Amino acid sequence: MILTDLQIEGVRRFAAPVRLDGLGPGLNVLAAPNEAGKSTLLTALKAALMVRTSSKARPVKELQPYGGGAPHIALSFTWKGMECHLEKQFLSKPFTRLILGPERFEGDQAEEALRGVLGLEDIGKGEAAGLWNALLVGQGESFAQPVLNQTGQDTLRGCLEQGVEDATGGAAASAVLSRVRERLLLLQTASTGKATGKYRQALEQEAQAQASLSELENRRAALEEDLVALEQARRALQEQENPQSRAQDEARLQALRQQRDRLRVADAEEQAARAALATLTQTHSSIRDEQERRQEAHLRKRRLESECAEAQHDLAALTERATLARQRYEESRQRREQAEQQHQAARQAMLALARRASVMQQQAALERERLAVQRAEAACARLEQARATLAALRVDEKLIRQVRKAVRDQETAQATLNARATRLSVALQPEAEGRVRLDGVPCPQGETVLTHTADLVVEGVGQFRITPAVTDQDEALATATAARRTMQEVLQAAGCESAEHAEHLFEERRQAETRVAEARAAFVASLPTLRDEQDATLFAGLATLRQELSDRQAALLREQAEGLSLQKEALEEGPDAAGTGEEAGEERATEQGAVPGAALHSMQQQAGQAEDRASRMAEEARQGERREQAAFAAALALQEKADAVLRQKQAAQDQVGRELAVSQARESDEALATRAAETRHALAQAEAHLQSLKAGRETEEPLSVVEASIARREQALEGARVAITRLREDIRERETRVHVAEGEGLDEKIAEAGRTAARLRLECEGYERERAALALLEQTLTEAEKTQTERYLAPLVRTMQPAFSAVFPGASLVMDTGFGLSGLARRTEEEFARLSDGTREQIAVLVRLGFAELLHARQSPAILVLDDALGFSDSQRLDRMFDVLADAATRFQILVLTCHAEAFGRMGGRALTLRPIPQITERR
Amino acid sequence: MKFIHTSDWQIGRTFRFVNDDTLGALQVARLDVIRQLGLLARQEGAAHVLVAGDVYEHETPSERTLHQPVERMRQFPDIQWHLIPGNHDADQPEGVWARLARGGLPENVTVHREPGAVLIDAAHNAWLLPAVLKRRHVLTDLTGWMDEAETPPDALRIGLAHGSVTGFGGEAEAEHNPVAPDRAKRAGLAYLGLGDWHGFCQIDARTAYSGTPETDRFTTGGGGGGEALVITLRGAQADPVITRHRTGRYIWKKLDDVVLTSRQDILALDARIRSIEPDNPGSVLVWLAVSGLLCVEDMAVYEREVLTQLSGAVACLRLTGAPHLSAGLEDLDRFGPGGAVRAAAEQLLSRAQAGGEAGQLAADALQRLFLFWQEMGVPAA
Repeated sequence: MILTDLQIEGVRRFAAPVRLDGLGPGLNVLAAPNEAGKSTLLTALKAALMVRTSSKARPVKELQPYGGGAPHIALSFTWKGMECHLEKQFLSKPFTRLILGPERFEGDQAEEALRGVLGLEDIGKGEAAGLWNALLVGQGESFAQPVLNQTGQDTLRGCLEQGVEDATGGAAASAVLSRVRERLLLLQTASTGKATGKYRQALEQEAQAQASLSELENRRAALEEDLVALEQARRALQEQENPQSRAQDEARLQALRQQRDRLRVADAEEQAARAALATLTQTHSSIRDEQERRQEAHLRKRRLESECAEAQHDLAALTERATLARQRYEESRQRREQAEQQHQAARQAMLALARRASVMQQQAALERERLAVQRAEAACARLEQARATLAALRVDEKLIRQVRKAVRDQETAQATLNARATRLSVALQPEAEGRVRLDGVPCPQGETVLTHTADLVVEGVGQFRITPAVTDQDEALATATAARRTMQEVLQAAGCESAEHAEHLFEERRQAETRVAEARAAFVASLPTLRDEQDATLFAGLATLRQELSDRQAALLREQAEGLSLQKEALEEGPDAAGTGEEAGEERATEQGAVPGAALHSMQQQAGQAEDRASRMAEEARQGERREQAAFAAALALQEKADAVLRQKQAAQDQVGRELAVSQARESDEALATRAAETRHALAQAEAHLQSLKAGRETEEPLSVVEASIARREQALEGARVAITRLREDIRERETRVHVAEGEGLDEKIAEAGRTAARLRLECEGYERERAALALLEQTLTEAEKTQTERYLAPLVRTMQPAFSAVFPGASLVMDTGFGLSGLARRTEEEFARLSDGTREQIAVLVRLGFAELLHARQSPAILVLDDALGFSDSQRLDRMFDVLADAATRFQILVLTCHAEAFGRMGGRALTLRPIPQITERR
Repeated sequence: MKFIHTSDWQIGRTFRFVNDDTLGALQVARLDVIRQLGLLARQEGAAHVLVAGDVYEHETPSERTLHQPVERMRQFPDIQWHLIPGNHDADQPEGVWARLARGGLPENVTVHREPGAVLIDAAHNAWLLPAVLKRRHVLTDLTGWMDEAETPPDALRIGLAHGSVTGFGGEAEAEHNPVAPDRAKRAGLAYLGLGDWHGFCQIDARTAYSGTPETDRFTTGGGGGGEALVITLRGAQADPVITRHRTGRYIWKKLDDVVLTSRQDILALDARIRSIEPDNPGSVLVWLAVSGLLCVEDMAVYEREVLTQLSGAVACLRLTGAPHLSAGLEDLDRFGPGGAVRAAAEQLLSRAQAGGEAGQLAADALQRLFLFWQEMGVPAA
């Protein structure tokens, strides 16, 4: 089938008629930019081939352009050497016209004929489908493998079955398999193969039945245990309640109690004998103690007497030593006092000399200050003088500026006047001098400036009047006159005769100012603490200096007076001091006149040495006193201690004596001895009595053993009572339980539960057998179908293989039963879904190519239309695809619609164009 | 003197292999047989029914089960019922007999719980010597005391015991509750009635097992059960006259080694079973151990005739095993000469022919394939 012409009108963007130009056998390429209408073209082709014109379904309505209209499509093709023509109009005045060589069809007849030629089947809403869906590949559809409906599959199968003899029954196998799966799904889940439905229910019920069975069996076991325990408890109770053994126990207990009472009495007797013996032993030992105490007191009294005598003797010797020590101490004290007095006197003398030295230093300092004050006062006087001079000079900066200005003004006015004046140049013969007179005076030689009307008289000639030709002469004259007047006023104000005088006075004033500044600097320098302060501060500083000087003079005078009195005191206090006499004399001498500094210094040194000596002597005297004092105190302490010892011994001696006397008075020694003898006798008797009691009890059982035995038996009896109560309770409890369980009929229940469990097990086994058989059947059928399909698909694979080998060298295809390519075996098998987008698209295109090949081989009409396919292919693959497409195009027509004009330029083939036409050419 | 000897009523027994309806019916029959025994006694003019143990199936029956037989015995006040414990209902403290004793028993029912001669019929000077099982199993012969038991001169000494005659069956159970085979002779018994065996079995002229009055298993030994004995004593020294009477309602039949290879075999089997009780096949319980090979068509016949029709006719059809599908290549022609289904069938067939467990599974699968094919109405090739 070769499409030779395609014209459309009123389809989407093509409201006006348009024709696809250049169609012919082999490869046809329409390279046009986006939105050029390629996809619309394909949609129109699909509609023409697959949709009835009677359809008003959405896809048909979507064919309309925006402004509305009736989609009108006309196409021409050759098939089996016949010229064919198909024309359709949709929606408005729809019609179908099909011309197949000599045959001509209209309306529904045409539709049926078309479907017959193309192998299409109705799928409702006026649309048809078949293998052609896989051959007209819209934009984006080329990425997926074609999904074939039953008609498409049947078409393919029909093509394939012609070549395979025993490939029938594929559909039957699918049907059986789906039935098997349906049944299997009743028993197990599809994904995990776990039991489901009735099978699962049976399994759960069986587990439940088993659980309830084991629960019942547990209860049965508990019942049996109860029965055994009940029997045991009954036997135990019988044993516990045996009256004979009970009476025996009671009798034995009674006997033991009597024995215990007897033993308790004997025990009390023995206790009493023991107490009596203890009392006697105590009395005897107290008498013996008293006797020993008295003997000891006698001995002690004698020892104290001898010790007292010794202490008396020691005390007398110590008292004498203390007296001697006291005398020595008194002496040393006197010596110390004398030495201290001498030291005091020497220190006074030294202090007096120090003070004198200080006074002399102060006097010297005072003198220096006085000189400084005098200098300051002189500087102050000079400053004041300079200032007075300055004040007398009145021409200051301001005045001189006024003078200078007045001079300048005057000169300017004069200059102005002169500039406008008439010049008279006179050159007189020497002989003519005096004969020419100007304004009454001899006319000067040279040039003369005439500002006023002048009268030149030449003797002997006559008089010439010269009137200057000045326009505003008067004004200039007035200005000059005013300037002169101002000048004179200024000078008068300054008290000067002339400008030169004023300048001289100003110069003098400047010198006076310099002098004032110098005098002030000198004054400031003479003041030690102030620097360039205000004048008032400076004068106040001078006053302060004066005041300080007079204060210090007064203070020094006071000091001198005090120094004198001190010296007098020192002389009065230390008349005996050996080294101070002549110094005092010198002091006195200095009072009348000034003592030279060197002499004073040596006097100070001597006084210091004397003071040191006196100080050392006083210190030695003090140490001696302390030594003596310590010796005295030690002697005194010893004496007191000996005295105390003596008194203590005497007191102890008295005490012992008194104690002895008291005890003698209480009981004489003889009476005590008698009592001791009696007590010894009684003690021996009590001892004997106790021994006899002990001997009597040796054969008896110990009381503690008897008591323990009683306690044990009592406890056992009590225990038996408790045990009986407990057993009775236990029996009652178990009996109740047993009766309840008996009523339930546990054994019957167990049998019933066992029966249920067994029945369910059988049921489960049945299901399991069913499941296993179905699973095996499913597996076997699936495998058989697969094997069958592989055989069945072999021609398709064979058809496709060359194209695949060209694009994917060395690869072989794996196809599934739905005519899809499930994978590609290159080195290893690869799942289709895991391949790259580009590869998947290439494969999908190749598969469609394969379908077209198959149709072509069976001489059915086939063309392949690809819209915007292979956009993701690399250039190498694209080249290979081009080769494959070009090769296929030698057998059937291929239309490629693309927006990649450059890339698809290499493809070759016929170049198609879209051309507007006035109207669709109708074939009547 | 005449009396009825019966045993092993096993009231409360359940049967695992029957459906719920049949189970109920079987249980009802076990109770109703007591009435049959009472009627038999009246009919034979016997004043006493001796029950040699195992009245109850379980040690702890429910209250209802406990009283069901007692109430049926109460219906015959003219008959004296003498019961002894068996291994299923041993006289344990708090056991069934203690429970019954607590509640009180009808005048005409006596439970013998202690060994010792008891006068049961003064007119005939008949004394009952019961052996009493206090536990489920004992290793001593509980009938031993009968040798020394004192009874008046010329008394009819009737022994009643539940146990296994030692050295007779030679089976494992003989170790428990043994009974000396010559006890009747040694103890001078006019008759020793025994219980425990469910089928009638006579040990000697004076010793017999009565068997259960209503059959309860397919493999009952001896007479197969469903009977009671009418014993006629003509004197202390004379041998008793033992007469067997049918009392049971259901017939239990087990057919081992049923081999089916053809349609004829199937039809023969069907006829054989239906002939067991032609008038009332509903009272027959059958257990078939089936094997064999059937072709596809015969398999369909088997399913129709046996699994559907016969199963509905009898009270219970219990099956062990099944005939195998014997399919050949010619059978596969119905799947057509080629195609996936035929290929799968061939594969399954070859596996099935290999035999073994996997072969059986493959045969099952193949059978189902045939079935589906048929269901789908695909016309045979």
